[in-house]
Amino acid sequence: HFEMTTTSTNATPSSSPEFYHSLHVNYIKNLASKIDSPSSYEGAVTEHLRMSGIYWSLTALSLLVPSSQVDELMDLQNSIVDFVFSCYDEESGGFGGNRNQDGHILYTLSALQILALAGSLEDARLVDRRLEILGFVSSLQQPDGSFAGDAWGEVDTRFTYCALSSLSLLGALHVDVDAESETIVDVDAAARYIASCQNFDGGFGCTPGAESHAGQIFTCIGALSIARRLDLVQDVELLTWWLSERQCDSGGLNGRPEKQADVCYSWWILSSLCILGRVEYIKGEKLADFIVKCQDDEDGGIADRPGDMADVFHTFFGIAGLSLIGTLHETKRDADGNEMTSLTIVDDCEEKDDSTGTCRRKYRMIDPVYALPTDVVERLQLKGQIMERKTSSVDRDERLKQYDIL
Amino acid sequence: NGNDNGNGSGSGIYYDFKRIMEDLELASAIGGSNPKNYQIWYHRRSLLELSFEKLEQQEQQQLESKSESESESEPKFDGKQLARNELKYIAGVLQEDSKNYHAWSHRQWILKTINDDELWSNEMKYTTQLIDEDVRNNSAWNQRWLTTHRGKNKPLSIYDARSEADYAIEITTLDPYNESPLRYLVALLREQQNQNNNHSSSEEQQAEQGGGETIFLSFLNHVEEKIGGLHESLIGVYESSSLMAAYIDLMEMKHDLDSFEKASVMANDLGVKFDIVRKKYWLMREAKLKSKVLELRG
Repeated sequence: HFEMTTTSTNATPSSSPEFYHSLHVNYIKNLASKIDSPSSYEGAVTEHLRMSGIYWSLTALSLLVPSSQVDELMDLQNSIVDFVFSCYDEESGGFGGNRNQDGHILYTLSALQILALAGSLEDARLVDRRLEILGFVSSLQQPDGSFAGDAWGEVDTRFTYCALSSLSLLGALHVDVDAESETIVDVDAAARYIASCQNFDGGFGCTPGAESHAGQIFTCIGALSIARRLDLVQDVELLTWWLSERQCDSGGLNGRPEKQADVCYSWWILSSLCILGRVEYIKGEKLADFIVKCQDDEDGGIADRPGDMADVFHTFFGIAGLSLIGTLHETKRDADGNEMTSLTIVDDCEEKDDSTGTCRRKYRMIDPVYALPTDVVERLQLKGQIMERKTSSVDRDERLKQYDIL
Repeated sequence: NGNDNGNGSGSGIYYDFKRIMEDLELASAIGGSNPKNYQIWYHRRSLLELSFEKLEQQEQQQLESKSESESESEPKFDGKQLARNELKYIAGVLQEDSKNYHAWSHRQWILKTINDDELWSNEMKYTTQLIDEDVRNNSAWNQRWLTTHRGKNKPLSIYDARSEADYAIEITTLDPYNESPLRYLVALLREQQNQNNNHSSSEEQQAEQGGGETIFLSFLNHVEEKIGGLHESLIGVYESSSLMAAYIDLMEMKHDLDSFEKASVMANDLGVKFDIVRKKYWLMREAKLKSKVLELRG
C-alpha cells in the first residue's frame, strides 16, 4: 500500500488534491518504450491487444501534453502509424491486435482511432484498403442487427459500438433516411438490436437479457448516439438514475450493484451521462477525489483503486474521467477571489503567467462519444447525437456543440 | 470437427462427441485459471453449438430411418443432458465468483437456445438458491427476470407478477438496504402498468381493461402498503435510501394528489438528508413530482 500524501510542492498553500501530471507523462512514455521488450511481463500478457494499448496511451498523452509532443512520440516509436498498418490482416480485411493476428472489430476501431489522432486517415495505405475494411465491418453484421467481433462469431454490444464508430471515422456512415445510396450496414437494425438490450432496471448488457453493466451501457449509448437513435432509449431517467447509483461512499464508481468502485467506470458512466445530458447526477468533486487517490505517486500511472498497481488502461480512463468531470480544466476562486485550479498540478508548468506568477496548463478536452480529443472530432466533422442538458453549467457544453440534439 | 465417415452412421457422430467432450474438458482446465477470458467462453459455446447441431441431425436421421438397432448399441447423447452438464459446469464457476459476467452470459445463451420448460423451472430454483446465499447478488436477480419471462419480452401474467412481487418483498424485508429486489419489484409493477395502458380500446377490451385496471390497482396498493410499512419501521432507526427510492416510484405510479405530494417530500428528504451524493438527481425528481401536483390541482 502506498498512501496519498497531500504535501504541496507549490509555493502557494493549496487544499486541492494533487494531480501528478509529469509522473503520468513519464509513466506512459516509459511504458511505450519498454512494452515490446522480450523481458516485459506486461508486454507479454497484453500482446494480443497492443493496438488498443497504444490507443489508450496516445489518447491519454494527448490529454496531458501539446500535440507536438504526441507527434514526437509517434515518430520515436519507429512510427506508430507504420505499426498500425503492419497489423492489417489481408484475409479478413480488418486490423488485428498485433502483427500476424486475425482482424477483429475491437482492434480495427483502435487502429482507426490512432490514425485519427495522428491525422493519418488520408494515408494512402488506408485509402487503398478502404473498401476491404468497410467490407470487413459489413460482414460482421448479423441478421438480427447485432455485430460479431470477427469471423468466429462472438456477439456483444461492444462490437456494435466499434462497428459504428469505425464507419463514422471512415466517413462511411450514412444515417440520412432519404439517402438513395446503399448503406454499408443496416444502421436501423443495429440501433434496434441495441434497444433490445435494455433491461428492466433501465440499463444495458452485452446481449438481450444480460445483466446491466456500466461498460456495456456506454457502448450502447455511444452506438445509439453515433446512429442518432437516442429516441430508442426507454425511460432515460431510470437509466441515468441507475448510473448515478454507481457512485459509492468513496466517491468512486462501480460497474454494477454491490461491486467495488473502479477508476475505469469514471469514463464509462460519465461519458454516458454526458451524452444523456445528465452528467451532474454524479458528484464530480467526490469522484475526482477518488481518482486522484488511485494515482501512483512514485512511478506515475493510475490504478483501478487506491493501493493497486497502475496500468495504462486505468491511467487513460482516470485522466479521461477527470477531463469529463471538468476538474482538469476547472478554475475556482479562493476566499480572496484569486483564481486557483481544482487540482494542484504537481510539476513544472508550461504556461507561466509572469505578471501574476501563476501557472496554468491548458488541457485538451475529450469527446464522450468517440473517446478522442474534441479537436480531432471537430476536424473530422464526426456526427453524433446528444440529449438536452437538464441542468445548467454552460461551459462544459463546448465539447458537444457539433452534435444533434434529440 | 465434423469428421464422421460420411455414411451418416451413429458411430461417426459418437466419435465427434468424444472429441467435443475432450475439448470441453480442456477448455475447463484452462478456463479454471482464466475465468474471465472471453475467448475460452466463446470456444465452449462454439463446441456446444456444433453439438446441438449434430444432435439435431442425429435425431432427424433416427426419425427418418426409424432404425432401432443404433439406439441400442450407441450411447444416447441428448441435447438436454449436454445443456444440464454445461449448466452444472457454469454453476461451479459461479460458486467461485457469483458475479462472473461471462459465466452468466453463457448460461443465458444455453437456456435460451434449448428453451426447455424443465430447465427453465430448474433455473428458477437456482436463482432462489443463489439469492438465499446472498440477497445482494444482482446477477441472480437479473437471471430471475430472464427466467420468469422464459427469455422472452412477453409480460408476465398478473398471477405470476404477484407471486414474484411477494417473493421480492419477502427478500427486501430481510435486507431493506439492498437495491436489487426493489428494482425487480418496481419493474414488475411497471410491466403490469404498461400492459394495461397498451391495450387498445375496443368495447370488449374496454370492459376487460376496466377489470384489468382494478386488478392492477389492487396489486399496486398491496405492494405500496408493504413497502410503506417497511419504511415506517425504519424511520428514526436507519432509513434505507434504496427503499425510499422504490417507495417514491410506487407512489408515482398511483397517480393521485396525496401520493405525488408524499413522494415529492420524500425525494427532497433523499436529496437533503439520506442520499446527499445524488442531491442533484433528487431535487430534479422532487421538482417533477411537484409539477404533477400542480397539474392535478388544475
